[in-house]
Amino acid sequence: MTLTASPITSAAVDRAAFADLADRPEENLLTTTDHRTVGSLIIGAALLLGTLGSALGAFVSHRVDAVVGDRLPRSGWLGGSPNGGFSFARLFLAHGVGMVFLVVVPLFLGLATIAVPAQIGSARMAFPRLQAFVLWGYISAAALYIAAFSIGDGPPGIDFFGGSPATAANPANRATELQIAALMLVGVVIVLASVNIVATVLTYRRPGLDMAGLRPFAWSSFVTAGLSLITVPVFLAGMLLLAIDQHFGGGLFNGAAGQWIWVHGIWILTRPDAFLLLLPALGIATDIVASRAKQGLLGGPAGLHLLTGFGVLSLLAWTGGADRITSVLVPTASIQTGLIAVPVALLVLLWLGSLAKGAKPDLRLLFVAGFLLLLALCAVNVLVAAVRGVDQEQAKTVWVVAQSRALLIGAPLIVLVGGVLHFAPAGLGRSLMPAPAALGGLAVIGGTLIGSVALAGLSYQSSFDRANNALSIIGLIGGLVAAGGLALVLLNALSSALQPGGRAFESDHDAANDVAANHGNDTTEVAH
Amino acid sequence: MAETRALDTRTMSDPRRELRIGNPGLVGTIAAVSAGAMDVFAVTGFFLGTRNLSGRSFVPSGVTFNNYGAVMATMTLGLASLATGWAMTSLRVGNRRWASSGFGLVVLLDFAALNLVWTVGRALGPGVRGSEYAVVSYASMALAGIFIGIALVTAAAGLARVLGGQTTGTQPHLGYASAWVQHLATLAWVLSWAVIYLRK
Repeated sequence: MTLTASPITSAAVDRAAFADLADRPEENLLTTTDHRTVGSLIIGAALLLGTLGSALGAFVSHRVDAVVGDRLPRSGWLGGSPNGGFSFARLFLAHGVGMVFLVVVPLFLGLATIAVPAQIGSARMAFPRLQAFVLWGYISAAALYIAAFSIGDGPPGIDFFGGSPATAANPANRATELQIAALMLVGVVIVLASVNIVATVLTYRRPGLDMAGLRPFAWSSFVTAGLSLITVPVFLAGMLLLAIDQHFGGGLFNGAAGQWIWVHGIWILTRPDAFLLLLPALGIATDIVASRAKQGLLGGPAGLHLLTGFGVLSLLAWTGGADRITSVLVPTASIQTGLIAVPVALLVLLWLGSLAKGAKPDLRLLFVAGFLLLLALCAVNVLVAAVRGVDQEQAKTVWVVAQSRALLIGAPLIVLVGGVLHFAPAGLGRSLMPAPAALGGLAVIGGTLIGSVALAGLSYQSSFDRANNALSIIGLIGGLVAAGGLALVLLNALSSALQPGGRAFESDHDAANDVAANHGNDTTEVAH
Repeated sequence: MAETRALDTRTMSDPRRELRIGNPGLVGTIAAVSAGAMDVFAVTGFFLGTRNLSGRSFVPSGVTFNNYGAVMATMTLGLASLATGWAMTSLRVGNRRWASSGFGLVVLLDFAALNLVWTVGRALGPGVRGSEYAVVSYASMALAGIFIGIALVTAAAGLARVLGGQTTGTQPHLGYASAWVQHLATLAWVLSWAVIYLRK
């Protein structure tokens, strides 16, 4: 296929690729290198942690006043000590950072592990053992991270969402070192998985499939992985400095130099990775639209170019300022970061145009709609903030928390869960059960939307006594509904995986068609 | 009477110069080395940024630069990069003995470089407590040490595979991979020492 080739359509299933996958002997889950099993395990672990993290986030956000202001003793909870204990701020940190590094990113890695080989017509990743290491490295990092918050009072205030490292007032302890070790391990895992994805796409494509013929998710995974090789090492470098500083008490982060390193190397909201979390989500949404639109995705390879443009523009996040309220997740923070809205808008127009020419109704399109709705709500939130203003200092903090949670966690999570449904045939060999999938999907979408709107609404209230506020309670309910939805999707996937008869690719041609590799003649549907 | 030549290359085939980029192992290694280089550049950038923002008091009193050890480490790593090139050329012309000697030499040189970097770090001065200079300089040297260690392991793997006959002139990819990692290790140390010594 060339750059001027016909539109991307629902491709014919690659029988050769799936034939190898369908009949394999029983495998040991601890030693397997099968990309479908490894990917499914990563997704399962991420969904489990996502359920716990969402529930924790819902409870903690309910007391958002305590998060941004107070330190309330919670003796006995998660190992909190009687004479100090966990503050809500620390629990919120555990929720936020954990949801990014241990839920959203691994969900992408798991989906890419399953779907990228299937979409390029390969039966394996380039380095199967390396991907198995990614799985167990991720699980080890999650264990370290949980352990960090289970020791004593937990890490003292290294807020990776915060604009200041604030290490001077909070001396290091073992929990801090565990937390840093966990995040460094996650960073290494992301780099290794990115190496594997890049090598797989470049060297394991089926003959005749060139880069311009890749399905949107495979392409977005390739671009995300390639850019992660540029951005994640900078985060790792910052974490190395932080680890040495914390362990030996160097005092680097007390001065202006440390602040500069923090802003450009570690603080999540001023790094390209904040946008790169959205790129796989855009790829999945484009993939879903391409497979459900009757005439395929309009514009030929334009969708792939827009995904690339989004990824490249994300690097401009490094040019953003260091002010908390103008962090890059505010679309109007700077012209550079505002530019990133252009490819997103064009991509959305492409989706709508493709679907306007006729679409096959499908539950997965609901996730795309929820994703768009959340993006629109974030844009409205920016406009309201610009017109009405967010005056109080603590309210500004709540506003940024709401916006960053919605864009950094909520929006990608909605589409990634849609991706779990979309790519289930490639990973599990069969689609998820429709009724629980619909219920779980609606819960994730609805809960995320309700929770995001409620938290954003809190920042516009005049009083800061939000403990028993109606919006707080609505936000709590939204968060719990989203957590329940994630649990339902996990149980649904487990139920499908444990069905007798192994992977049943033969019975699910239509679903397999949606995720299989493009052939050179991708406007032709091959009949089986 | 036939002329005697120290290195008789008449029976050797021409070296294969093409870099077969389609090999997954080599592509993966290049991607990983790119990420490692980005790591090195980031730490170097953080070092320079810290120095510029800190002003004159950046280097604490009592810091000692072990120039002899640092120069020796630089020369050792330069020789290791040359030796890996020698090993690869030998591999391409099908001379297994020279190739294994080259990789063996790289292993020894990397051991020596690790020792030298450790010595330079220990001799640097008052330790990292209370000094932002010490944090960035030790981070820079620690990163170089990590990459030298990885290069040592890949060179040892290359040596084992050459001796075992798995890496040959027709299957040289692990050798290429080892060479890429070795060059990254050299780059990491040279940049590290350059900023520590020249920008103090």
